[in-house]
Amino acid sequence: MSSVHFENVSKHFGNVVALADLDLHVESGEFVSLLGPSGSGKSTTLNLLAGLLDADEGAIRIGERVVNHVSPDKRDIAMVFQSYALYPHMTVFENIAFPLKARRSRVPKKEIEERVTAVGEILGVEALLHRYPKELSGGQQQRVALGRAMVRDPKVFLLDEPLSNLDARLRIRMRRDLKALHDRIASTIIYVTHDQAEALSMSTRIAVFDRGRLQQFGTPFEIYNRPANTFVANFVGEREIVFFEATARVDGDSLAIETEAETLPVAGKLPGAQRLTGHRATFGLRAESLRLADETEGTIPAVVSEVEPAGPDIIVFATTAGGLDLSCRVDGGTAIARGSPVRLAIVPDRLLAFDRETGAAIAVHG
Amino acid sequence: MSGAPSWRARRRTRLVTGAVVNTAIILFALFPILWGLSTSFKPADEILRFPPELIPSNPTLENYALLFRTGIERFVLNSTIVSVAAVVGSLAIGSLAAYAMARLAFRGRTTLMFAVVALMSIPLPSLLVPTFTFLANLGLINSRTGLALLYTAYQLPIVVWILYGYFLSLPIELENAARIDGYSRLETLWKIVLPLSGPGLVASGLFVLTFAWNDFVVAVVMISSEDYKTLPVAIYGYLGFYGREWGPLTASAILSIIPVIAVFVVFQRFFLGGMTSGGVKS
Repeated sequence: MSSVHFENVSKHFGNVVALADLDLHVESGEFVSLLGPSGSGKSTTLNLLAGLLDADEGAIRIGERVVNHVSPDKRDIAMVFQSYALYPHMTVFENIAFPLKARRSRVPKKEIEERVTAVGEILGVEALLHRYPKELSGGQQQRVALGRAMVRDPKVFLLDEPLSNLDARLRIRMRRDLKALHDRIASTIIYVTHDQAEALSMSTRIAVFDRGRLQQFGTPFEIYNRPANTFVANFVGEREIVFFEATARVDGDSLAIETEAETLPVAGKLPGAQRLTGHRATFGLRAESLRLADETEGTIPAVVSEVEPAGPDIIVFATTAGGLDLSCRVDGGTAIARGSPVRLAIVPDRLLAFDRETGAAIAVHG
Repeated sequence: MSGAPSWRARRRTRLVTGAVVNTAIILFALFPILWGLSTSFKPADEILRFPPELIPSNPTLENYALLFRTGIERFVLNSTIVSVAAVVGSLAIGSLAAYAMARLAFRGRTTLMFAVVALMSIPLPSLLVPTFTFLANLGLINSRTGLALLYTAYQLPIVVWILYGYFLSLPIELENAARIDGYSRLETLWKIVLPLSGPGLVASGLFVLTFAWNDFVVAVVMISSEDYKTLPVAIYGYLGFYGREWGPLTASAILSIIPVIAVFVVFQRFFLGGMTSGGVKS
């Protein structure tokens, strides 16, 4: 296994900037997700690392070795494709054994057999080794694709949306399997996905991309709770975040948010509140940024406009006196009806604030 | 209950009509061959008898025996050598060229593709004199090597064109996967692309084979020695100077179509495709 480094890497397709000035350093043994909407540059990044594309500028290193001009077969990487790319004319055994039979790897025949069988057992496809890919289900094909990558001991694993063709429940199970796999082989994994839940649940760190630029590189906690800008805040999270522009009224380390129509108190201390002094900022509230409160002090009166049961939780949509539409995640057992008055409290640790012009986060949490 | 019989009757009418029409078309297309087959089994004095018989009343193998007494196997061998060499040569060169055009980005690729298409439209007779001179300069006149090279050259554009289209239809992820699995471009072509290109290879191979096997005009120009004559040229020999030897002529014609039919029958299943199914989830 190896570290991976992108140093000022750019890639253009004609006039379109696919990737601009990427600086990304992945430590050895990390599970890093590249997250972003389609066309954000995440797949370009992966293909550059795989050698399927050539960078226009910058250096790409795997470990200490600059690989810009090394062809894919000499980079010692393994890749799982979104389409699985199983060789249709080969059995499962031959598919998994294929990387070991390459001239470069020179693995003795007996060892090939042992390693393929071992990988087949780990992935639970040992009974399918003599079958052809078209005789397998989607989940089985996915496992074989994974097996073909695992059978070697590559410097880096590249996974290009490997779960996107599976049904919802299998996808969630495979997340756990992949994470367990990473824990066991402790290899460097670069994982491309547009599904933030996958990225948040498996990665040691996440790189969020938008329009060819790296927006933020951080742990799942940082990405979710301390997004670097409005794009990351909005892209990550199951539901849309509520953004609104307002002025901060700071008093010591407590804060009130003044919109044109009303003043929203923040219940509790905010260590970095001083940084908001005099700022007209964009504030962001997720469903978890609010809680239902019993007290009247420091809370926001609102009227429930919609109640959406979401399995274990209920999402309560409520409109404030000033006409701001907020949402709040509450326990599924809560009895609440449309039209009833409620009081909402902003959870200080979950309040997000951004510079109005640049969209960059303001560190209100200290 | 009441609708069922009329539905069945209509279906039967349609089946019968279809069978009649199809049989008529088949008979019309195959009649010359049937007639040739029939003639090849008739003794010489019965061939031109009136009224003609489709099924010979005194069938004989004499015409075939005559062919083998006069050494037709030598011409069959020549035709086989030249045709097989042309098929192998044009598929080997053609698949490399087509793969480069399909997958490698190089300067002038589009121009080259246009040139290939343009070459296909040059009528063969206009090439006879220049290629004869060229072959003569190389000292390859009157040789099977020269003939095989010519057939390869003539058929290369169509082979490149067919394979180019076929390679483009293969999912590129398979090739990318093989590259990442540690295989060079050439190894990827050999281990992944060609095994999955069965229908394309068979289609273009059959083009070359039928051309090389049936060619008369090129062979008659380039080959003068009796030793290297191909089958079509030999058959022409039975349209003698003084008369028509219908028996041996039809017998040799029938002999010459058997291998082509056999090859088509063996390879037709490749046309059905489905070779790449299941490899790539779409």
